Amino acid sequence: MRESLTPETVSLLLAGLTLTIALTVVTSITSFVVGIGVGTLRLSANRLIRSAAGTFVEVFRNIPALIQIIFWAFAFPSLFPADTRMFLFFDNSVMTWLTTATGLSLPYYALAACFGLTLNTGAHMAELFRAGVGTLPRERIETARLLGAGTLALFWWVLLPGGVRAAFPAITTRLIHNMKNTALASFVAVPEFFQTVQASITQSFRAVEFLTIAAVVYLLLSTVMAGLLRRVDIRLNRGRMHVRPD
Amino acid sequence: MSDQIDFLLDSLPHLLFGFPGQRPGGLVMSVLLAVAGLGVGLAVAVVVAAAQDARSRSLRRLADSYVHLFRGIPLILLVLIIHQLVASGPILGLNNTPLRSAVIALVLYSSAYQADIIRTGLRSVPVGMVEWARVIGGSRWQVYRLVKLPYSLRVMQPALSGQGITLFKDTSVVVIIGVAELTTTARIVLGSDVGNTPFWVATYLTVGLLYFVVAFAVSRLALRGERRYQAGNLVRSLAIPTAKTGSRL
Amino acid sequence: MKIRGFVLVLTAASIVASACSSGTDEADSTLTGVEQSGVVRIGVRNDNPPMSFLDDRGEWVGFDVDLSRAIADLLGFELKLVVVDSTTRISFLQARRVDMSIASMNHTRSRDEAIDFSITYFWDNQSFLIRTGTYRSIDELIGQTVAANAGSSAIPSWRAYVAERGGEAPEIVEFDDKLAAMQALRDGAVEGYSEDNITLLSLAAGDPGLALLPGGHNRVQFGIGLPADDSSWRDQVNFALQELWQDGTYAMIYDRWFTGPDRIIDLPLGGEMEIWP
Repeated sequence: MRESLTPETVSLLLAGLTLTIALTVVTSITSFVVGIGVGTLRLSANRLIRSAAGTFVEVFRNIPALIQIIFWAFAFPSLFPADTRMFLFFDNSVMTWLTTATGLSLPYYALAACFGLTLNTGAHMAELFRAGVGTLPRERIETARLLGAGTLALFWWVLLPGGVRAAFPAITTRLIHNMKNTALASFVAVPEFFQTVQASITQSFRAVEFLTIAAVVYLLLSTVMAGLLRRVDIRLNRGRMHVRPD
Repeated sequence: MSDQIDFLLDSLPHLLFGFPGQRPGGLVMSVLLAVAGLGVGLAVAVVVAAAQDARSRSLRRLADSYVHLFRGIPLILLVLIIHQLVASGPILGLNNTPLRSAVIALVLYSSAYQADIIRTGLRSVPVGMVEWARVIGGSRWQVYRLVKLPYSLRVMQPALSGQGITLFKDTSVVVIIGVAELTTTARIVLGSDVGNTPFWVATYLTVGLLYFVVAFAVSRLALRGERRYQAGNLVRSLAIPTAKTGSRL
Repeated sequence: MKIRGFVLVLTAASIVASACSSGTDEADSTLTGVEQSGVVRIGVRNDNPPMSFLDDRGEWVGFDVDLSRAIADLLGFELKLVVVDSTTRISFLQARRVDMSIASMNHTRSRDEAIDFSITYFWDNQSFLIRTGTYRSIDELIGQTVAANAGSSAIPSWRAYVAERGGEAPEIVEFDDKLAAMQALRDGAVEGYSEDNITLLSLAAGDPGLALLPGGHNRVQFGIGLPADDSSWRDQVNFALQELWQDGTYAMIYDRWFTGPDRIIDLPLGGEMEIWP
C-alpha cells in the first residue's frame, strides 16, 4: 500500500481535493443566493411570479443533478453553431484567465458543473427557505408592517433572517448533499477529488485501498462541514428562545 | 428538426424499457431500483432505528456510525466500493453483477436516510401512549413493534415518500458501473452511432423530462395522500404532549 | 463524540480493505475452478467499438466478443461474459471475479506487476485524431491541450514521448465519455484526441472533419488479462490462441471486423501470432 502512495499520486489527490473544496464553496454560496432569491419569488403577491418560480423549483428539483451537469457541460454547447463554439466556450479571455487562475485546462466544464449544481441545489433551497418563512409567526410580520416597514425592509429584517434561521438545519443537510454531488462533476472531465481517485486506481491497480481513502476523505469533509454549519446555526440563534426539532 | 424527432421516436422505447437484450431497462429499471432500494432499505432502517434507541451503548454507537457512514459519502462512491467488494457468486438470488452491486448500494444508502426519518417519527409518538403500553406490561420490543412503529409510520409517510423520490433520481449514478437504467441507456443510445452528436440536447432534455414526469407525479400523489391523513391528525387537534415537545403545548 | 465514531469507521474500513486485497493470494489454479464449474467468466467491455460494444439493437458484439466465444468453445467451457470497464478489467482479475479479461488491454510492464498477460493477440498503434488540416504530424501537438480516455495507456505514453523530445509536461484532459472527447475536439476545446488507432478510426468513420495523424507514439499490443502467477491457466489460454490462429478461426474473426467486405473499419493485420511447436 505504501508503494502506491507515490508523491505524484498524493499531489494528484490533493489537487483534486482542492478542486472539490473550491467547487463546494462556490456552489454553496451561489445556490444559497439562488435559493433565497427564488424562495422569495415564491412568496410574491403576484400570481404569475409565484407560479413561474414554482415551475423553476419543480423542474430543477425533479431532474437528477447528474443529468443537469451532463446537459450543461456536453449538450449545451451543441446548441450553438459549430464555428462559434470555440470562441464562446473554450478560447476567450475569460476562459484563459480562469485557466491561469485555477490551473484547469478546460474551465468551461467546471463552470458548467457549478451551474448545474447551483440550479439543482438552489431549487431545493428555495423550497426550504419558503417553508422556513412559512413557520414564522404571523404576529411578527404584522407587527413589522404596523411599524411601517416597507416590503424591502420587511424582507431584509424579518423574512430573510427568520426564514434562514428556521430552515437552517435542513439547509445544512442540503449543503452537505451538495458537497457530495460535486463528485458527479467527474463525469464531465472535471479533475476533482473523485476523478483523481479513479485515475489513481487505474494507474496503481489498487482499487480497494484508494476507494477506502476516498470514503475517509468524504466522511471527513461532511463531518467538518456539519460541524462548521452547526457553529453557524448556534451563532444565528444566540439569545433566542426557539423550539427546534432535534 | 424532423430528424431529431425521428431519432427521439426511435430511441423512446429503449429509453423507457431498455434495449431488447437488456429488458427490463431504461426508465422501468430506474423505477425498479428505487422501489427495491426503498423497500429493502425500509426493513434495514427499522432495525437500525431500533438499535439507535437500544439500551446497549455499543449498539447505539454502531447504529449511529452506520448512519453517519452511509450519509457521509457520495452514493457514487458507495456504488463503486460495493461493486469492488461484493464477492462473486449469486447473492440474494441476483446473478447480474452490476445490478446486484447497485441494489446493495442503494439499500445501504437509503436505509441510513430512512433510519433518521424513522427516529424522528418515533420521537413524535405521544408519551402517554408509550407509558400506557409499558404499564400494561409490554416489553420494550413489543412497545416498539405494536405501538410506536405503526403510529410513526403514518406520520413519516410524507418524508418516506420524499426519500423514495430522491432515491429514484439518485439511481442515475449507477451509470458508473453500467447498470442498464435510464441514464446508461441514454448514453448507449447516443454512443451507438457517431453521427448522433447533434442529438445530445434532444436526448438529455427527453431524459430530464422522463425523470421529471415520474418524480413530479409521485410527489403530487404523495401530497394528496398526506392531506387526507392530516385531516384526521389527532395530535394536532388534541395537543397531546409528545416526547418531542415534553409538556409544552 | 463524533471523533470516536469516526475512528470506528476508519478501523472498520481498513480491516475491510486489507481483507480484500489479500484475496489475491489464492494458490488454486483458475483452471481447476473453471473445470469444476464448467463456466469460464470472461471480462469484456461494452463501450469500445469495434472491439466490444452494444450495437443499435443492444446486442453485445465486437471482435473481443467473437474471440471470447471462440476461446470458450475451443476450451470446452460455457461462456459467461462479464461487463468490465477500464478499472474493473484488472481489479476483477485480482479479485478472481473473472477468469480472463479480453478488454483491449495494452500489455505494459506496470500492468504486469498486478496481473499476467497472454501472448499478443492484436497489434495496433496510438496516434491522434485531429480536425482535418490543422496538423501534419504528431510532433506538432507537443505543447497543445489534448484529450484522452481516463486511465488510458495513451496518457503515460504521450507524456513520455513529449519528455523525450524535450517538451514540457503536456495538458491532457481525461474524459469518461469517448463521444464527449470527440465533441471537444470538434468544438476546438482540445487540439487532438489520442487513443488506439482502431478506436479512433471507428469513431471518426465517415466524418470528413476529423483525420487520423500518421504514425503513432505507442505501439499497441493487446494481451488477454490473466490472474497473476497462474501458469497452467495461462498455458491453456496461450495454446487456445495459437490453435485459433492455426485453424483459421482468428483470421475469420479478424476478417469479419477489419478486412472483409462487411468491415466497420479498415485495419490490415498488423502482426503475427507467435506459434510454439
